[in-house]
Amino acid sequence: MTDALQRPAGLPGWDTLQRVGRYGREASAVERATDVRRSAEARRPHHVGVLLGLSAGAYAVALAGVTGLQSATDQATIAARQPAMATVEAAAAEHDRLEAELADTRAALAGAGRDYEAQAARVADLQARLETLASAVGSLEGATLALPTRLSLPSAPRVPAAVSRPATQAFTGASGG
Amino acid sequence: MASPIRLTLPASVPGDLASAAWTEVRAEFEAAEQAMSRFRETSDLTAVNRAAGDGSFTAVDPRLRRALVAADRARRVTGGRFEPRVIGDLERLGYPGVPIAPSSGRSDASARGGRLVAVSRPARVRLAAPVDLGGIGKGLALRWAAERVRRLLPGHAGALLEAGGDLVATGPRPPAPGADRAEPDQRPVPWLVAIEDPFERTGGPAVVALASGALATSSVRLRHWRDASGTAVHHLVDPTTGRPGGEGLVAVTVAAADPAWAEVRSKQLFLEGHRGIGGSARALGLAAWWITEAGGLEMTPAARQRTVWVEAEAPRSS
Repeated sequence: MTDALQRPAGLPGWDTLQRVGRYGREASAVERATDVRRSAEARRPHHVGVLLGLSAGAYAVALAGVTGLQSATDQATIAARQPAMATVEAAAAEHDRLEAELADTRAALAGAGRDYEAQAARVADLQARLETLASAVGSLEGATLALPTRLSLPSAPRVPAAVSRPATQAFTGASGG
Repeated sequence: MASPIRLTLPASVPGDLASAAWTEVRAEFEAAEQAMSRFRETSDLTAVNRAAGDGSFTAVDPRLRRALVAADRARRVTGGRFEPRVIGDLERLGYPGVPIAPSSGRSDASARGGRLVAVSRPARVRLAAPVDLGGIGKGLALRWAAERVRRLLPGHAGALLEAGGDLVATGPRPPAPGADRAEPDQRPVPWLVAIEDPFERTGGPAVVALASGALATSSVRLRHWRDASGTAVHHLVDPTTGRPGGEGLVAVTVAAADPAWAEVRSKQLFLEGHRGIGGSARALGLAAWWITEAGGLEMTPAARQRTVWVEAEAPRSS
């Protein structure tokens, strides 16, 4: 009899067995296999439970790890995207400003359009008045053509004009010095 | 300066008073000459001109101090058109006075700029450059002499004082004796003054009326010559060029309340030349008459109001 264990035939999944003892009584092979099978069958639910527990634990650990990794990755992503977000917000604010400016411009253009219409009406009025004046001038021109080319005025008394230089007391001119 | 002087008084002034007035006038002109002439070796102006630029103050007659201050003001008021610091230019043109410094090619243009005179009390002056007070000196002498006559003859009709073609009236003249006997109240009438014909063709192109105030004429009729190069020049120097100014003009007459300012304005307008004189004279509101090189007489509207006769407009007797 040796210490090395041998797997008896007919016992699937059986890998380990305590040494029975070297000095125990040698059982028969059948008795030994039956004992082993009986012992294995008693230990199976316990092993499965341990395996399940271990699996669940490992899964939980792995899940926690993955969750942690995801959280760290998300934070890194968020941090990396923060400057871009600031740029996007600034662009949005500029867009709002431009939109407001465009609205003001539209309003001013509408007002200018109204003013232009008013001025156009004034210009039309002035043109009409000019045409009236032109027709009046034409009437005057026509009337002036009817005026005589020469008019005889009443005679006016003639004022005698000085023909000689008046007597002077001094003269002003170049310095005699 | 050194001009013939004439004093015309009303006939109502007694002889001794007239003699006293004449003595006052001659004394004033002599004092003015001694103070302001650059042609007199012993004048105060000659002394000041010789010290010009050395930084020292010189005691002078109060007349010279007042004249230098008046000349400085005239320079500023006319924008530099009236500029007494032209001695170097006059000497180069051939119109020297008493020698004041060895000929060194002094540039008048570089000496100008800034105030003309520095004054300290009581009557000490300092010049940065020598000056010529010819025209304004004559006008000031007329002013001061007229003041003496006015103080001596209160209550009388006006007197007319002439010096070298400029004149000042202290008031209108009395009507001629026997004139307008039909008029019961004969009021004083203005003096009638002929504007000289610089070409000496006639008795003068116009006659103007002067009740009071002054008439001064800047003319090149007498003081013109040819310089070393043979170019015709005269004594009315344009300070901006250093050469004779007044292109196209021969004589300019201005009426003003004061004889010194009449002289300043006549020179200022002469230097405007024929092209600019009309606008400048009208802008200043002056009564001004000018004779062109072509012999024509032109005047401002203010002068027209004072003009009683114009030769060119007189009817020709057939």
